[in-house]
Amino acid sequence: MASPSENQLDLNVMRDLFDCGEREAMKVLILDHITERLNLRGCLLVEFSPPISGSQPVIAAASKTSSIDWDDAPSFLSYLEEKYRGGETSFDIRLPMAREGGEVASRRSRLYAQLLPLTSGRDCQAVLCLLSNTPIDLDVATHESLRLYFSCLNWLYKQDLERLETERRLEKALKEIDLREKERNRWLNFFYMTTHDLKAPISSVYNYLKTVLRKSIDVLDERMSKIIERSLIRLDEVMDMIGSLLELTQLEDPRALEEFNELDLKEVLWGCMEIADSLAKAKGLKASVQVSRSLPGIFGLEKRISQLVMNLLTNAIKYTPRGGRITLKAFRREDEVIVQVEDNGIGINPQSLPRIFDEFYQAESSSEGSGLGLSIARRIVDMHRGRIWAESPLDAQGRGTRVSFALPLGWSSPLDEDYFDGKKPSDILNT
Amino acid sequence: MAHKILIADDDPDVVEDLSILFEDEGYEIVVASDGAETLEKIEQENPDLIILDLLMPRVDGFAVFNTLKDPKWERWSGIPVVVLTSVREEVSQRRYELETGMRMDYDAYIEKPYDHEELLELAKRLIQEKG
Repeated sequence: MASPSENQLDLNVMRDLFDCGEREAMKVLILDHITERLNLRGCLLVEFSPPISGSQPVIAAASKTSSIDWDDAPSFLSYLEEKYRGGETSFDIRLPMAREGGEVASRRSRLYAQLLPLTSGRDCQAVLCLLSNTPIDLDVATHESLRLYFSCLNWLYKQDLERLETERRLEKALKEIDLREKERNRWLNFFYMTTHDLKAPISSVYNYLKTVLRKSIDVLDERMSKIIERSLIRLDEVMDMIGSLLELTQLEDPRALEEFNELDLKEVLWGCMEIADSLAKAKGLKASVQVSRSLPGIFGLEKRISQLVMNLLTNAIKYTPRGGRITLKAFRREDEVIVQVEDNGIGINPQSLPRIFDEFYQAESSSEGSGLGLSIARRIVDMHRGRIWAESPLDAQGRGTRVSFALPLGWSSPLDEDYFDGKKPSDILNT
Repeated sequence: MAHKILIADDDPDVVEDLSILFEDEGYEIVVASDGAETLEKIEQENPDLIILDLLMPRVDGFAVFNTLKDPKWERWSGIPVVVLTSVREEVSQRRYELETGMRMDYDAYIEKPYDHEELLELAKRLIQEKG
């Protein structure tokens, strides 16, 4: 049993340790306490860092109160390495009762060392060396009084190990991400190049056919010119699709994020509506705008946002029969800006709704377009960290569609969360 | 006298197609299939308009463009240039800026695939303006 005064000292130790907080300083503090308590010349903490078999031991901490001329350090360290490589298999504090007090640690200064290995797992993590002018005899009472220090050291090393394990796992995960990213980029590039290279031959055929049609209009019979005209329409569709595919791959390019800017959403929306208005009028549709006067600006790519809004507006125009109306709404809701394009057109089968933003998905009623327009829209919303969804029908007759997207407010750097700024995993853990 | 158009493109189909298109409208056509030939033809033929592809073997269109900015080529620097390429405009500008520190000041930039009517109208307008 420890005496009341010893308990008091232990409490002081704990307080000191928690006050200093710095792990290296904590080690020195522990060694100082041991040196003082056992009336030693000094203490050394020799660590195998990282705690794996065969690693070189280093002196991690020495008691400040010691006054040892450590001239034999290298040979002493290799002696320790030899002795404790491999080590024990428990995570507990081990206080060996082995009488090693007779070992000479330094020939010149006639030091005696008591070596106490600290082990966890399979490895010896550190060796606590008690150094004295006289042979050290560790009796049970001394052992008992060292227990607290050992607990503290053990706790420190356990943390080290856990930290090391986390770092290792993080490193592995980052490597995996890196690998996948590279693979993905390789495929994107392949996809882009292939699609891109389809453009030239197809547009050549398209232009040749146009020339044939123009120059042979007198010699071709009606059926033949119809075939050529239809070929041109089909090729036009292919070129449209190639354009959309290229667009989609370009949207995957992370360099686009560097061009993000503060932008006036109101202005972008009005610009889009100006174009859409004339398209709507040409089709005999009524177009109206309800944009909140106090609509805040957003952080994004103007070109892409306007492409997104135009995409939704032209869709609405396309699927709304003559005499219908389309409405563009925009307002703030909590920390988001919501933009909605509404029509009273043919509507979408509710079962199709969840899939309309998927690549190449087309609701059965329509056959125009490449089927990529809405997936481009979703991709643009994604890169702005927003959400996009559709509601339909809007009335009891099964008519009307409302496509909405929400963009978050209050962020101003596209890189702030997704990148580690080239830091090592250990740096990240430290911050 | 017929106006002369230099078509610089390494894709024989584009050259063929544009030749038919412009010859039908009464233009005289000169062709080049790479940048070096383009510069040669500019010197020899003094065209009224250049339709320039950017990605060509040996000397590319960017280099042709840059050469035309040289004071030694001042005589031909007023010829209107229509860039006709499959490369996106911002990508071309970025590359040119990286290489020369300047922006390309062409008269028109058309991304392939091109439209016949649009090209004819553009050529007519540019030749009239500069003529």
